[in-house]
Amino acid sequence: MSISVPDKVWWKPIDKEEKIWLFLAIIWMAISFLWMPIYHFIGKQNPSNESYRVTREQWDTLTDDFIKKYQVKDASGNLVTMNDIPVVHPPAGSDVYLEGRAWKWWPVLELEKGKTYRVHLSAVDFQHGLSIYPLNINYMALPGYDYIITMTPTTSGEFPILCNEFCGIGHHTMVGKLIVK
Amino acid sequence: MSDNNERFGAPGTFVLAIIFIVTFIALYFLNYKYLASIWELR
Amino acid sequence: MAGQDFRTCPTTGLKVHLPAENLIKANAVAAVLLLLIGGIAAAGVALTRWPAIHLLPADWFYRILTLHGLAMLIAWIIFFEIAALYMGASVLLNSRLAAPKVGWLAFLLMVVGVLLIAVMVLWGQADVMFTSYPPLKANPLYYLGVILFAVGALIGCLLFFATLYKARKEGTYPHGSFPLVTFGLACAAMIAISTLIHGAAIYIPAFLWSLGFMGMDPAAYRLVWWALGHSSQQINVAAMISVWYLMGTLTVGMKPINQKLCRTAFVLYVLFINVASEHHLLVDPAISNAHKIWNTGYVMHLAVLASMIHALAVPAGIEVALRKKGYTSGLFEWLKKAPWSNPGFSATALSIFIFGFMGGITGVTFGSEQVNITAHNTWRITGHFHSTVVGGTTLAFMGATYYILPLIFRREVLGMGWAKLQPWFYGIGMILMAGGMMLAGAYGIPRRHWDIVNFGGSPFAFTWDPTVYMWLSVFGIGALLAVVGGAIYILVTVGTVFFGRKLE
Repeated sequence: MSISVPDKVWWKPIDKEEKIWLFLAIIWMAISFLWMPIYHFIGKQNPSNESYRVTREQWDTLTDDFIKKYQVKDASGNLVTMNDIPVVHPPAGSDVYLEGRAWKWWPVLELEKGKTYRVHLSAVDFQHGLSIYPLNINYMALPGYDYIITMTPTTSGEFPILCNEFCGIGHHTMVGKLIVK
Repeated sequence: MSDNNERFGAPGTFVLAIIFIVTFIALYFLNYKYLASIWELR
Repeated sequence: MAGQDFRTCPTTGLKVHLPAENLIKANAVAAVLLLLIGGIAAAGVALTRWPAIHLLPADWFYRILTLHGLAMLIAWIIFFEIAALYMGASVLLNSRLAAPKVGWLAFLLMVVGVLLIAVMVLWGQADVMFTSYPPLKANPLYYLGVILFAVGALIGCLLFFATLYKARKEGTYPHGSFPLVTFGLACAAMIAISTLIHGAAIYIPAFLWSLGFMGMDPAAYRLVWWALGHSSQQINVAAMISVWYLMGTLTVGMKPINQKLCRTAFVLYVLFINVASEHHLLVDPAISNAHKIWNTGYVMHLAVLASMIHALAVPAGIEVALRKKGYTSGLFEWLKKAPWSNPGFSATALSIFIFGFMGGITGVTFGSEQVNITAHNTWRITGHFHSTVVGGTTLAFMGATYYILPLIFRREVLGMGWAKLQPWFYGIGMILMAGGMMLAGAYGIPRRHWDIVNFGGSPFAFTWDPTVYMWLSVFGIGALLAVVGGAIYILVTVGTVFFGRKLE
């Protein structure tokens, strides 16, 4: 019984079926563990290994410069915005900045398909969660950390960005946009 | 109150356990297959 | 030993220490009351997230969601576990509880803690969710409430170990190793102590931070908080599996097939499971990939191995016991003829199925380093942990209640007809609900989100793949079934405690 004291000697050999199961379980656990480092070599989707501490002042300077430099202008030379958020078209393959703030993703990025970008992700007030629909790509944006995700968009279109970390009462209104041309 | 350890003698459970591990392996790699379809990320 | 402090249980022949019995009753009653509060909150949350109804306004949704997490994951489960610990140490070993007064102190601290938490949350002073990630800040009294509760639980765990020591020293049980259930509960209590120390390491700084005495780094908070948040779930796993073994014995007379294997598996939990908390941080900055793989891969998978061992050992023990009753034809006659109308048995069987097939598999998969990119903070995660901690742990505890009522409260279960249906409502509801969550989450539906239809009027609002709405409906129907199952459980339990026929 499970609720009574066992035999004095309960360290007894295990049966054949249990041995087979133990063998299968250990092998599968080893494979599912080793698969993670292996996927770093054979797979094209791996979590980033690059992040830096960043102060609010440093981050603001970086993003302001970035937006000033690359904000899109229309035919008559006016700066383009989308719902009052600047639309930015950085050069292919450059460093780009994406900021989570209550309750906006700032700015709207315009990327080119097949080009590789270093996306700097951070937050300025609360913790935010980057979630790109419909690809279901999710990363954390934390205040004080510059998290660099090296990203190559392989499909084009307009991709909504959700926030999936609770960031206050307006959390659900936090939707942004990423455009891939 | 003491008990002897039983012989295994549970073939039905063994079959269920095999179904379990096969489901497990299938679902694990299915998720990687889905992952491989999204953008390249490093 | 003063004889008048004990009674002999007519069913099991065990000697029950009456002060211990009172403490078990108090903790179990508190657990069920908090399940009621958490359950009402659950209904509010589910009916809001189901877009067909969208019941609560935004501020109350987030508030009630915070309350739901704390009432269920912290209060209901830990009160029940403390009751189980006292039972495992005192009743199963025929021993007196080492210090009942200390047990009442622990109980008092936990009650005060929970009240403080509940008042702060409902007052709108702690709209921070279960995880309270800084820089979101709650009223200092909220953190203090969590600390008081944790200290109470810690005292309860220490009292459990003191009772084990006393029982051994006084020789109240036949000489030998502890029964398997007590051994499993001891492992749960060891994990609990380590968990609660991590809890102190994060909630005391958070308390001081909320008072303005220190700063708080968001990434560091997440790391230490999850050392509490993740390993507290492992207390639940170890306690739940102990309950599976207990219920196997109580319902069909199961004997563990190989004690060596079962006990080794429990030790694997103690050694490895507490470390595996970084699978919550796989898409966080500040931790290297190598460390993430080491922590979640290597160490977690050794703990998963333990679950795989129990996954065979528990049903196999049940099968052997049922075959002994004569259900020997074919592979599955034992399964067909099992006592499915016994709510203790059906709850345990459903718990094993939901925990293993739904919770276990998805846990390892979503917690693997790369897949987590497509799972982190989506509803897939919520679906996963509702399979483990609700469909698994809570359902197993519900099944155990149908035996605790006659054995400890000495009341015949009132409304047995309803009780027989209860695990099915709750279990099937949870399968649909968690399944719906995980499938909708695979499309990117976020967790902790009030408005996935209009996004509170955001100009960037978009529409989801239409398939999502089907999974949302599956979720909603499942949630309703589970709420009905939970309501039956509470009515049966409370009805029995107050009006059930007294047993000798």
